[in-house]
Amino acid sequence: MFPVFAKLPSSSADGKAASPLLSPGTALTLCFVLSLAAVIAHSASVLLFLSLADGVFLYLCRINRHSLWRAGKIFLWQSTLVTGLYLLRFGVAAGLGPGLLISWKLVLAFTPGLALAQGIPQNGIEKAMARILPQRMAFALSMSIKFLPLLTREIRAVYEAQVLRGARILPRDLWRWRNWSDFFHSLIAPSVVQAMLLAENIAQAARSREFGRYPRRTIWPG
Amino acid sequence: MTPILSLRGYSYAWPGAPSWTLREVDLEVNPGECHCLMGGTGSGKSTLALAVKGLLPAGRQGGNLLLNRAGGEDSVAVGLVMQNPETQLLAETVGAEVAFGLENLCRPPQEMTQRVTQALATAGLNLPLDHPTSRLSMGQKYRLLIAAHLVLGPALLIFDEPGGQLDSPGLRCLSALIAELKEKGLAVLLCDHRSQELAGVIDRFWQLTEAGGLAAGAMPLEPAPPLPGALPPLPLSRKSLVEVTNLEVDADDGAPAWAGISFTLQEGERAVLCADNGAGKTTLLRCLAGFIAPRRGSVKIFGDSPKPEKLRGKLGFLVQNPLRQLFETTVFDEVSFVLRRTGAANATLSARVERILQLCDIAHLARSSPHQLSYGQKHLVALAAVLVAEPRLLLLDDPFAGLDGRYLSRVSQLLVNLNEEKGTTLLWTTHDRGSFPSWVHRRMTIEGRSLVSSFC
Amino acid sequence: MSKLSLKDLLFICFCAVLLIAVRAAFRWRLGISGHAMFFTVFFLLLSRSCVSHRLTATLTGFFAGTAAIALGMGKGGPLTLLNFLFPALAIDLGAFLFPPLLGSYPLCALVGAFAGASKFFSAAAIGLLIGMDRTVLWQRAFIEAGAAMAFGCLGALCLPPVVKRLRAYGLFNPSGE
Repeated sequence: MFPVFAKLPSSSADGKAASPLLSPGTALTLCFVLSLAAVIAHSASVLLFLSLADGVFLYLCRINRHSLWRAGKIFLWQSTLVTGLYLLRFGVAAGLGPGLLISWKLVLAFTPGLALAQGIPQNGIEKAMARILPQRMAFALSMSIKFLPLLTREIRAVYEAQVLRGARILPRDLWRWRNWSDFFHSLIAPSVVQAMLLAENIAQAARSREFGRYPRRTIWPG
Repeated sequence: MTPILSLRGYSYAWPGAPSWTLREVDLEVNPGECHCLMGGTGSGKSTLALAVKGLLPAGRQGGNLLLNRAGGEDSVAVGLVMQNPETQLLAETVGAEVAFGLENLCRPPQEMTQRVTQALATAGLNLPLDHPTSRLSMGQKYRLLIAAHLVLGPALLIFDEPGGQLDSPGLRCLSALIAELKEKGLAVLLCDHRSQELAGVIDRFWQLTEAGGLAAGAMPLEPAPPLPGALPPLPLSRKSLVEVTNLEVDADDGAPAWAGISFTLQEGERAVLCADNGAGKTTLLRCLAGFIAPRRGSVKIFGDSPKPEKLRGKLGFLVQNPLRQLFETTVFDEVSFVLRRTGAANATLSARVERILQLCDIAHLARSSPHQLSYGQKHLVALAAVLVAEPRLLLLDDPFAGLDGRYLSRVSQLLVNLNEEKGTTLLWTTHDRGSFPSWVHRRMTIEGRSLVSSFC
Repeated sequence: MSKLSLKDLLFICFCAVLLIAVRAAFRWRLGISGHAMFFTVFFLLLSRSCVSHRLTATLTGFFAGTAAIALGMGKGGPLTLLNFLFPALAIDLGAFLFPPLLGSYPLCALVGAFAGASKFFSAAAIGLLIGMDRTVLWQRAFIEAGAAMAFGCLGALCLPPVVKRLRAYGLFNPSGE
């Protein structure tokens, strides 16, 4: 099995999360506002208010305990590093308070993003992004996400064909430095060619149905 | 009658290419007519289709290409259904897929539903508009693509290599659809080298020559079955090379159509497996090569569970699209790669590579870049790169897809020679039930979820 | 943007989405700080070498950040964009200053390290915005940038063999077209 492209983690990976109470567009906007507010806020009272707001946001995104625990682990390293550096610089008495405050600000800046990532369905966020981005960019990005499984299947086919032809590209082969030339030449280079071909085929398919004829498009009501 | 399409001395060369792909092409297509462009693999059929649709990059051009009905605000002059539906379906649901072109033409949403429904009915696809495109069969996907072009009201509809994806029944359905479209006054241009199934609706045949010119053609005869000599009987006493027992797998790209299948292949046997696209042919081959572990049942290759690292050099695997596995900078290096990695001595290496290049009739290309060759030549290079190792078992994943008769017979001849000389066991897959070669010992098909095997 | 064909734009997006997928696949397996810069620099340089446009890497970084948010892999929300945009800008600047960059090992290593060092700016920018103490801010930024530079350098060194092979195929000319 080709290990790298096994499966993309996604918000719906566990499939057990309850439906969020916010639309993707609203969630995306709130996420941006809350993150920005945490970055620019300085007073403790505003941070306290933002903490409450983040709590409500987490609830509305229906984040479960498992996701919260994973988020907590991500923040732990950042908070330990920042607080540790404050303690080293100012000592325990003068450094602990500001260190914890800054760590808390970092947590508040990143929490809305995590809630968005874990709680809101992926296709909903994609659609919301498509409304924000210019048409061509939104189309290209959504097509690359849609066709990623096909591309990874192509790359996997390259990998398997080359392994049977003797290429030293199995995971354990790559512990030997000299086998990396096989990895680049027999796997990465043909995979890039496949990605180029796939991009060309999709572009032709879209243009054959008049994509790009006008700067704007209407939207299918279904 | 005013022709919809007229080409007068039209020539085209791809950017940077020294020679013309199309040279002095003259062609006229009238409403209600169906023309078929034939030609070998890489002869320029797809280039001509892209030229008519206006999708070619700015290369060297000469002559005139006239479309006598320009696309209006709500329609297009030409629709082009390309080869692979997998890379042309851009939306998640049937309705959204057909409406994609209307969105691009900025048609008002209230107009879309009726036009989409009408196009789907014409294409013979009676499915709800919110039906996911991912759940369609290959034949349904092809019909959906036709609807996605018909909805734009083209005067000329081009089909590029429909035989590359559709099996014989699928091509017969397409033939009936083309007949209906002709009655409605639509012109059709078919670019295919396999046109027997569509012959009933074709009004004129054209042949693209190797020099890029277009000459009047005739309906091709059924291709002579590539039978290099009589089929040798299969000795019953030979040992089993492949043993599959009650096999079930979970593939990460979807469960295969089959489950609980069993079969054995003897040493020196030639077998073909025929099943629709998406039925799990590639999954089965990947399982035999040890890339997918069985969920239930067992697979034994050479008497042992398959492990890719142990099968290097003993098992050859030719993937459907040869471009995937070509990566060296010369044909010689490409073909010798497996020998270099399996530790063959330099003296024997050159001799073996030269011999296989001669057998494949590509010795003159030894110093060429594999990426600069035609599709058929690439196919032969990829085959040579697998055959040079003289594997005991050779798995071929739809090896004849997209190959014209000339390359098809050469590839068949090579496989049969290898089988007769070295006793290599052959198992290949195909999506086309009409193209069973007559030189196989055993034919296998997927019926329902079972594998049905019959000896010839 | 207007000069880019739809095909090039799609290829750039594929590089961006593959970058996100590979980073995600390795996120929990390695657990080494800064290792993501290895993949970031490699894919940004790859897209820059295959699509000849002054802002290819920046666009790839923008798409990668956007895709990370859309696919639920951006732990920083909108701030995730900075993680991709800073190294991408560094690579576009490097390719602008050193045109033969993409086939050269030393230049690739230099630009890879430079792109990795951009982690310093993203870490510092966030620290400044949230009002972190300056000394702590610089120390934290240096720690994060040091590891990122090493991994960025390694990621960049993987590019020349791939680019040389693609050029040998004759699929694009030395300018990357």
